[in-house]
Order: sequence, then C-alpha cells, then structure tokens
Amino acid sequence: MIGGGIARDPRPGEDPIDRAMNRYADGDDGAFADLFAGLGPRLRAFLRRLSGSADVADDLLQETFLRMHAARGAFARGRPVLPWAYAIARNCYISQARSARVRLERAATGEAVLEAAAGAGTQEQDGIARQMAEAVDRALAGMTAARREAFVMLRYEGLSVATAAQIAGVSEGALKIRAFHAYEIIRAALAEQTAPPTPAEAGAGSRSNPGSATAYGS
Amino acid sequence: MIVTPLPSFDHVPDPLDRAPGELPRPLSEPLSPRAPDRVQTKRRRQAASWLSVGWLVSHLTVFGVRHDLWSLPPAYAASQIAAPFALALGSLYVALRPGRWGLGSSTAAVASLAIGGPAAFGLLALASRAPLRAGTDAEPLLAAVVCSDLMLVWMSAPLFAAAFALRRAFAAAAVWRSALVGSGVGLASAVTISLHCANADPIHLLVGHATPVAAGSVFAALVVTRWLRA
Repeated sequence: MIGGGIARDPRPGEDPIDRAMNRYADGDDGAFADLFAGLGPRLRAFLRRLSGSADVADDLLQETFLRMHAARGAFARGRPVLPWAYAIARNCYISQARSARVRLERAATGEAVLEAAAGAGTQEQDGIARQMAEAVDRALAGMTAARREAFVMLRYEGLSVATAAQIAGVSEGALKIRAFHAYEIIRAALAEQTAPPTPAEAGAGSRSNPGSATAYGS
Repeated sequence: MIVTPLPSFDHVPDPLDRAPGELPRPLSEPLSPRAPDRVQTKRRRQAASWLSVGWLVSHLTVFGVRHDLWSLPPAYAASQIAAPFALALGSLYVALRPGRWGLGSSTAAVASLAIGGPAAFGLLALASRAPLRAGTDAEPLLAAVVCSDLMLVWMSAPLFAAAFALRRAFAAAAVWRSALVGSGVGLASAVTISLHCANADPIHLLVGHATPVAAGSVFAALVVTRWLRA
C-alpha cells in the first residue's frame, strides 16, 4: 500500500465529526464540544509529531481551534473536516516556528520515546523496540520540516497522498519525493540500529544520551 | 529520482504512543468574539461583491466610457474586454471553489492561473492590433502612468473588500489563492479601464493596463494573505 497502512481518506458527511463541524459552521455553538472531543486528540498527536514537544503541541492545538472557530463560516458544506483541520494545524505550526525565528526543526527530546507503550514482549524486546523508536525520533528531528510533515501525514496520520498533498499545498509528486527522502533517512537510521556492533562498540558500553540530539535553532 | 509507487512505511515504528483516551487540555480562552457562521459569511461575501462592482461601475460612470466602444474591431474588443472579463471570473471561481477536500483547487491549477492570467493579458496587450483610429498621446509615459495609477486605485477597494469578506477562507495554498484573488480583482479593473481608455498603443496597454494586474496579484500574495489564511 502506498505510504504504509490503509489510507483513511475521510468520507464526506458520514463521519460524526463532519456533522458536528457542519452544525458548528451553521452557528450551533454547542457542537464545539463534540468537535473538540473528536478532533483534539488526533490533531494534538499530529502537532506533537511535528513539533516534538507536548507543551508546544498543546499551545498549537489551542491556536488551531481558535482559528477553526474564526474560519467556521468558510468551511465548505459537505466536505470532510479532517483535511481542513489538518491544514489549519499545519499553518499554526509553521506560523509559530517562523514567529519564533527558529528553524523548522524539532527537538528529539526523547519524551515521546519515554511514553512508548510497553509491549507484551520480553524486556529485551521492549528495549529493542524502544531503541528503534528512539532512532526514528532522532531521524525525524534531523530532517527538514517538509519531509517530516510528508512522512508523518502518510505514515502516522494515515492520509492518502492526494489529501496530504492538498494539505501541504504541493503536488502529489512533490509530496511523494519528500516522503521518500524522509523514509530513506529513517531507514538508514533503523539500519544502524540493527547492524551488529563492532568489537570496539561492544566494549564501549552505554550509548549516547538521546536528549542531547538536535535542539531548536542548532 | 523517485518513481511511484512509494514503498510501504508500515514497518517504521511510531515514536509517539497515542495513549487511548488521552485528551488534550480544554481551551484556555473563550471563543470570543463570536465568529460569523456560514449565513453571515455568505452575506459578507455578497455585500463585498456588490460593493466592488458598484465601485468599478461608479468610477467608470464618472470617468466615462470610451467614445469608440461600439466601433471597436471584434478581435480588439475580445482581447481587451472579453478575455480579461472571462479571466477575472475564472480566477475568482478557481480561487474560491472548495474542491474535493474543502481545501480548494489543486495548487498547480491555482498557481498556473495566478501567473497565467496576468501573463496572458499582458501578451494580449502586446499582440493587440490597434484599431484604425489608434489613440496616441504626446506624452506616452505620462499616459501609461495615469492609467496605471487609476488601475491601482480601482483595485484597492475590491481588494480591501476581499480581505474583509474572505477572512480565514484559505486553509491550504493560501498564498497562491490570495494571488489568484488579486489577479481576478486586477483583471476586473482591467476590463473597466479598457471600457474607458481609448489609447490602443500596445506598450501603453502593457504598462498602463496589464502591469497593475500583475502588481495586484503580487500584493495580494504578499500582504492580503495574512487575512485570508486560516
């Protein structure tokens, strides 16, 4: 499957969130609670993957819903709310990054990895899974924002190439190129994790601290 | 060089665990002022449209319609009046249509028209064959600047109206769609100036009529976007 997983393109009008947004756009302020409950967690996860910080993601989520409120009259009837919400969230992230005069990078603080769910496997398996997740986190932190958002939308948000390209405001071909380059970077990072250690590495001891990876502006 | 399809990303682990039931914290600020709903937004846009048309028509009435309007060669009338009119309507339609996902037309289509519309009008200006009685001026530069200034003034009110009526209307590709709105407004003003100005010199048409259209598109992209982006 292209990009990974099943592309969950929204079907207009069928989703309760779409109905909530249509009610909200028509002036029913009471529909906001349903909208926030339905979209909030997903948008927050998206923003957290882009920004790398839970605090920043929370702030951006607030800004996203404020913008959605301000733009509700412009929401097209009969269209799915998810792509529209994602696009606004993305705009908030870009605006925040530009206004803070930081490069569109995110810190691989490792906080996301700390929350990685403990699997049902052995301790060794969990440790390997954690290392792999750390590697992905560092790889995402080190790549450009354009590649990161392309990969995040396709892999973790489950959007189709067409929808993700519309959200990012680029052609499908350009989005595929970005996602492919991101994937190559991640694949290389994962390959490093699975490569057998050299005798020198095996005797070196502990690995480097993931918290010291790329920070904002560096 | 990448070729379709993309490889599967399924095996890439997720560094962020979305814990089920994890809810973000509620909004810390109340949703005020109360944002306009669809009906109110529609009324604003209709009012802005009528005000813009009224603005252009009133100025044309004051400045007067060119005396040779009804004797213009069809090709000239088509290139300087009908074509920009069609381009203006098409630009605004493409800029404002919601598209399949509510994010508008494809960025490629919007960008092509935002650039192509003003460019096409400029090329038509250069390629236009002046009517038999071609208007000329003793000071061509002054004449071109006067028309250019008129165009910029005539575009100002509709652009302002668009910034008000289309606030937060563009969630994706806001810069290009704003440019397209600016282009549409500029082309509508170009129709108006073509109904008034009898100077048919191609250079005058390019500098005095076509260039402001491009300027309006650029201005909308760089300045008006901040109001139109959601």
